[in-house]
Amino acid sequence: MSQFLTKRILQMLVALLGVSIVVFALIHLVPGDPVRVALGTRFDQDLYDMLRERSGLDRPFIEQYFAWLGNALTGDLGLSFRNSQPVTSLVLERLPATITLAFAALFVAIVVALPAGIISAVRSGKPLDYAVSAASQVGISMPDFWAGVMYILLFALTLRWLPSSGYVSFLESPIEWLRHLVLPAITIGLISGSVITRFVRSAVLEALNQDYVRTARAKGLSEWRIIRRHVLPNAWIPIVTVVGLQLGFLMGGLVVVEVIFAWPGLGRLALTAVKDRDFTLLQGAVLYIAFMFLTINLIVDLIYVRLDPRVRVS
Amino acid sequence: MSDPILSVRDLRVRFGTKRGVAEVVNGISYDLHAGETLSIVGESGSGKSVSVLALMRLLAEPPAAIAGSVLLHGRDLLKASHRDMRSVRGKDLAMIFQDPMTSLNPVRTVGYQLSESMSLHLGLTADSARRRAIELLDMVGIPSPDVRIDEYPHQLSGGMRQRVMIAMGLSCDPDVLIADEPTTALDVTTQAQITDLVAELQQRIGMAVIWITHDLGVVAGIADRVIVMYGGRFMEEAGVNDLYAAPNHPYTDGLLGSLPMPGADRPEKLVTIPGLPPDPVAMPPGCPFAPRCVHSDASRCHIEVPVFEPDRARHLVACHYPLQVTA
Ligand SMILES: Nc1ncnc2c1ncn2[C@@H]1O[C@H](COP(=O)(O)OP(=O)(O)O)[C@@H](O)[C@H]1O
Ligand SMILES: [Mg+2]
Repeated sequence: MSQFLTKRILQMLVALLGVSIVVFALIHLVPGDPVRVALGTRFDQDLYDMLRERSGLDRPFIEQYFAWLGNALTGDLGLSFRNSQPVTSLVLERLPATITLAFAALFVAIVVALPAGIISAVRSGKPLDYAVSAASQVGISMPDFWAGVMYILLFALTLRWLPSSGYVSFLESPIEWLRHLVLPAITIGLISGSVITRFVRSAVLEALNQDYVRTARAKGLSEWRIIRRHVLPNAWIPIVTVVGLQLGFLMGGLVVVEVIFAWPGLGRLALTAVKDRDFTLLQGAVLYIAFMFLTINLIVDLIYVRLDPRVRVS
Repeated sequence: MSDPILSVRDLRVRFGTKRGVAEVVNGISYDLHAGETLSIVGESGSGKSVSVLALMRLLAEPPAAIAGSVLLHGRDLLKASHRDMRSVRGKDLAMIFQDPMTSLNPVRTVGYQLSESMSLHLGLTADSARRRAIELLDMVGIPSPDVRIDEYPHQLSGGMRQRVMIAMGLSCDPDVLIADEPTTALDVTTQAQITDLVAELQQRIGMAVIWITHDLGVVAGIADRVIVMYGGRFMEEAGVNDLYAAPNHPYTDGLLGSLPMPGADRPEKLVTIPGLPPDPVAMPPGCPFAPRCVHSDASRCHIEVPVFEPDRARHLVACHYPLQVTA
């Protein structure tokens, strides 16, 4: 087990290194000189040269990367190119909002997908199954930005039940925190939930058709007990994998939804950094997002090992 | 003779399929007495599994439609509620299946799967169910049962898994143990061990056994009585020695002919019955075996379904032209 963990953590570090190289390369290879953008219309050659030198942009690419990497390893992601604040603190400031939204969205997705998928599988071929399939098809086909705008129109502007955008910290007002969280979380959660529903359905259906279910029935167990004690423990294995993958997708959706709902998260931070050519900030933000994604993958793998005795032993 | 434990009368099973109605079991009747071992033999596809799954009510209805009656201690299981059926399964009627590799849940320990029916039907606490589970594993010949009980199925060999299935089947002292080709998926040595184990446990515990197989060769060691099934019907029913010595049905004769005789040194000379079993969606109108039978004639066999003549009580044959073999 500890060997497994060591291996996975090493893999994770390698992946992070890879991400950092790719991000670094992309930022430095795409057109749009950050200094030029920063100076805007007030262009001045001396100022330009000075800024390039100060930010290290005049040095060779490889040298820049290793300088950045060396600092990153000590936890120093440098200063924002745009406003000279430490990138680490800018990112950490935004992290709680993003994590909150990601988990809220995942919560919505799971709360919707598990019952819907299970019922759909158990009643497979019956009207309820068709209803669930149709609903999840709608969910899957909905673009996130469109869904977000529709929810704002309906629940915020027309019905006036919920605020249309913004963020309130939990410590400030738990109720407002929740009210602001609902729409963005539902926007991503229902889409992810629709995808997960399908996987839950097929995983449960697959498990239901196994011989050991017949054995369980031959013992006289009730159908519900069979589902809980025999079918689901097997179905969890593929479901957890899909939920882990969905979290990645879901984090992609965060950028769009954070922008629509003016949610002060990492996604919006990264987008602003792109617009401003704030390369140091963008590197930091992307690195954190990758780190979150890989951590989630690690957690999924650990859950996997808990769920499947065949993996546990070998 | 005492009343039978299990009495099956005119059991019929059909399935609605895309190709039409599949007539898989077409009116079979038999009695099973306490402590008796009855073997149902027939080629693959003759409806053996479906016939026993039907009496356990383990077929999804629809697509299955089941008719007839299955009296367990005089009570008709085909009329029982789902709740009543659940209290019968695993308690009065236990069943073990062909493939021990897939019949056990891969993510549950042996002990968990073994204890389940005991806590359900016998109301045992976790502790006493575990103790009895270890006893059962010991009884079915699993070494170091106190270790094996916490293992997962993938840690056991096929033979060991089938032993676990048997232990599971016996855990609540069933009146009837239905074994559906329990040795088919195993290698020859393990086959013999499992057959011997069931025969020995049957002697010791005294439950009745329905032993299903496609191999007449394994029947001799275990069965008291044999029923030969084909195309969803019974062709012949006799005591095991009678059947071997004097097969009356051409189909039984054919099955026996395809068995290697003890001491035979030229196995390539085995006679197999040419042709294939009938398609259940297009059952022939007369005797299901007629299309493959060398003795069949157009006037009777292909038109009229032969049935058991009730006169020869111990040896029944459903054939218009039974073989005149004298034992
Ligand atoms: N659910 C089903 N739907 C349609 N046909 C079925 C179904 N289950 C079994 N059958 C058919 O019933 C016949 C007998 O099957 P089975 O009882 O498994 O045979 P056996 O156990 O004797 O090998 C086969 O032809 C099979 O195709
Ligand atoms: Mg079968």
